[in-house]
Amino acid sequence: MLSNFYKKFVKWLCMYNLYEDSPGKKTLMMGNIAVARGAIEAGVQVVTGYPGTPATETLEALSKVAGKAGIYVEVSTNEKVAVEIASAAAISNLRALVIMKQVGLNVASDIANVINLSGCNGGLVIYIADDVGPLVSQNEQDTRIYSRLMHLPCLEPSTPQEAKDMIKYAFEISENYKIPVILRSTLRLSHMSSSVTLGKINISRNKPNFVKDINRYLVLDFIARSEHEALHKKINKIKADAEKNPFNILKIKGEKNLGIITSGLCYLYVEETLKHCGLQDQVSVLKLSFSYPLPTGLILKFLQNVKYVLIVEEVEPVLENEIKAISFDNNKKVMVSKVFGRNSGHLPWAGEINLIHIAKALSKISNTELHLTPDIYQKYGEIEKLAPPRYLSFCAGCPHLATFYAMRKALMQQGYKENEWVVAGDIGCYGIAPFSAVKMMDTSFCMGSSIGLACGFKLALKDTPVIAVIGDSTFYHSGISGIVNAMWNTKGIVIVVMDNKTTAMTGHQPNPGVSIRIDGSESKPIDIADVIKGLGIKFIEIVDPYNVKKTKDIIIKALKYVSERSEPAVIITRRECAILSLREKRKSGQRITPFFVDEDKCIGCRICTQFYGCLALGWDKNIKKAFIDPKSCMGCSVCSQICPSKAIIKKEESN
Amino acid sequence: MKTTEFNIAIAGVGGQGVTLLARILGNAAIKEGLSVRIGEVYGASQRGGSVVSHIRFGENAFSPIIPNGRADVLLGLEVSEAARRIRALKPNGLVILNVYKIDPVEVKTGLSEYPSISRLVNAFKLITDQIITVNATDIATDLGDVRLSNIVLLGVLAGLSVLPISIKTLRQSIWGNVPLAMRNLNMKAFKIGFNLRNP
Ligand SMILES: Cc1ncc(C[n+]2csc(CCOP(=O)(O)OP(=O)(O)O)c2C)c(N)n1
Repeated sequence: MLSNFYKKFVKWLCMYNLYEDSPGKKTLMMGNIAVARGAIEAGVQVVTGYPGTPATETLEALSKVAGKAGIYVEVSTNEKVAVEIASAAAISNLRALVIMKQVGLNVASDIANVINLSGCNGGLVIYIADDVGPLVSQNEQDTRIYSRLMHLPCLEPSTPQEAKDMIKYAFEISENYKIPVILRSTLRLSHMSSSVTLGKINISRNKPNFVKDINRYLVLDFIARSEHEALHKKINKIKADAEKNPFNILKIKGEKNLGIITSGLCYLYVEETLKHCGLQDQVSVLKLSFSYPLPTGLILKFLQNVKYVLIVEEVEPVLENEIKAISFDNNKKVMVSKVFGRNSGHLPWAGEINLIHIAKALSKISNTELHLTPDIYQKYGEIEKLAPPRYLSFCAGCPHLATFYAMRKALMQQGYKENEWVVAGDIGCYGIAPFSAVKMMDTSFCMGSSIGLACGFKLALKDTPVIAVIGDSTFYHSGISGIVNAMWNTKGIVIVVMDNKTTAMTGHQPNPGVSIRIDGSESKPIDIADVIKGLGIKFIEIVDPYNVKKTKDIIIKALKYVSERSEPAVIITRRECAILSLREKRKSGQRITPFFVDEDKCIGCRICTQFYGCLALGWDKNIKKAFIDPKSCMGCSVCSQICPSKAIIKKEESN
Repeated sequence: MKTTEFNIAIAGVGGQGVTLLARILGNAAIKEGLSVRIGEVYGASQRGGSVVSHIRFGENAFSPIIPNGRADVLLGLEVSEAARRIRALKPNGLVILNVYKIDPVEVKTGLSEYPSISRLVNAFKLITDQIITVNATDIATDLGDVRLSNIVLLGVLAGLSVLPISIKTLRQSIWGNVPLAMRNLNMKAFKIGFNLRNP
């Protein structure tokens, strides 16, 4: 069923020349795909990770050539497990790559903060895509700060070409020094496409080999201390590589006044600003390839040549603060008198950097006027404001939407008012709920957190009904530990697991609840209900959210159950993601019979559009009746069940 | 052909084929030895969200994002989406609009208003006189597949002879980047678009 979709995907990837062995060929590649290609060129053997924008495409791309390239690729249950698997593989001398988005490292930080001590034998590279802005995440945390905490070398490419080449270099550093290496990207680079020149694919493979050594792999207190010291020595040695490698760029220009130090994609913003302002021959530039450890020698050389230096980086003032320290320590040697950046207030200390920010900072530092944009902003605004907002919305027929509708109905039917319940949300497509017509969900923090939060809300607000909602992928990722806690520490909360049989938000990657893994191989699905039963939880109901009344009744039953005892009740609302089922229906040639609104019966109450709000529903303001767009309708029947005047019917029922 | 900087912003709704156009233009540029940078803002594209691609040619285009007011062309696959991305356009830059609207949910459910298409089209005159409107969706529907509207618009753009890429390379790139079974139809759509301004 999914195989057709995969075939199409493979074809699409071939266009990216992912596994083509033609060194020297120039091809259009997205940053994430270039990372995948670089890993193949480096002879990677084991790839693990967990999906998350903006890093997902690398994991997907590698999974599609896994068989052909002889690479093991898996979607792990979460980022911590992913790092653990890759660590053991790399300790056993294999080359391993872990892929995740920035917040994934929070989950993986426990193991990453120990594996740094024992190190690896085969290369171990962790590819992390940060989301500056943030544009698609809950925060814009800066991985470069973790690299300092963990003492892991951190490389920052500026272009897709560098991303491809640097990942090979990262494997070299990792194997030379037996240390895991972080390759850090940001969303704009991960999703940017440009010309990439292919390199040779390394077909030699490391031989698996585990040499027991408790002084290295048994990281206990007394071992950790000496390993910590050893780690610092490694980092000091790696500084030599940070000083000298083909990815650093040093340009000394002009009157020896003004210089910019930068890293990653910001280098492109810097070059473009200088070009547009005509300052390319006046401002010196240093682009760093390692953001940890910093090449002190190279930085000093730069600081000896400029008087003022602006640090352009995303997103925390990491380089800025360390470069300030370097110039302070060497104040006799350097010419620089001031270091500016996000900390000094010359650049904003949140969000993405753009050319205007850089030009403004340069203007301020050099006391000159620099102009970058046309002075007709107001007119632009007048056109812009005509565009109606296009918020994220639930897809037509989304089972999550139906669940939330039934949930609100159940709570209201039990006599609760809006401010008398708490719905602790989680991370996934269901996060759209508060911005949709159903307007449900009061909190959203990080993956798996809904259940622990619900336990805490119950503790604080004893008589308030508390519901946790969590998706299937998130349940396996980090929800299980919360449920165990709710049961053992006896919390009367309702847990709704929205089981749409996929990881929808990040583009439909498989999770342990399905039978086909990301590389197309088969596995035995793990049923969420079985897991819950195993914990001794007695209230477990599985319901199809497309059945509105039944779903509502079960939620009411669960609310009553938890109000009478201190024990969680679990409801699994199970229905495949509407996009996936639509895709399958189209492939297998099944016809979808849309519903329609019988205008004679529609009383114009707007319950369907204002309290449910499926994407396929509309409101005709001329005749004051609802209508259904037959092209978007999935035929799920939910709206027909909620219509009080039975005006929504299926096409065939009408005759 | 040579250029030091040429920028195209393509705006539309997820599913309209914004990213395919970017790929066609990007591959064509590489074939001609032109430096290219493409930046895409998506994520919600699968779900009918707002999508924009920035395609940048020439060695002075460094970053994947077109700085405000530097796009030579704004190609709108949907009218309000073009309005949303107007900030990219140069004063008096070229706007090519598909006279077609896709209502967001809030509009469908009556909670928000979609201005009339003529009002939207007229608003672009505040910034530029170079506005070209095309009924690309109608043409594509007549050809048998609404998804071809993006290629019709690409044809219109190519017909105006402003691109730093030869028509031949562009045609080859379409051929190489669309599904095999759709090649001939796509070439037809391109030709119709091309001839609209180049009879
Ligand atoms: C630690 C962490 N890893 C990855 C992500 C990216 N992410 C956001 S939502 C999501 C998927 C959620 O899937 P599921 O819970 O099944 O809900 P669905 O989208 O299918 O409704 C992922 C992986 C994240 N936010 N945090």
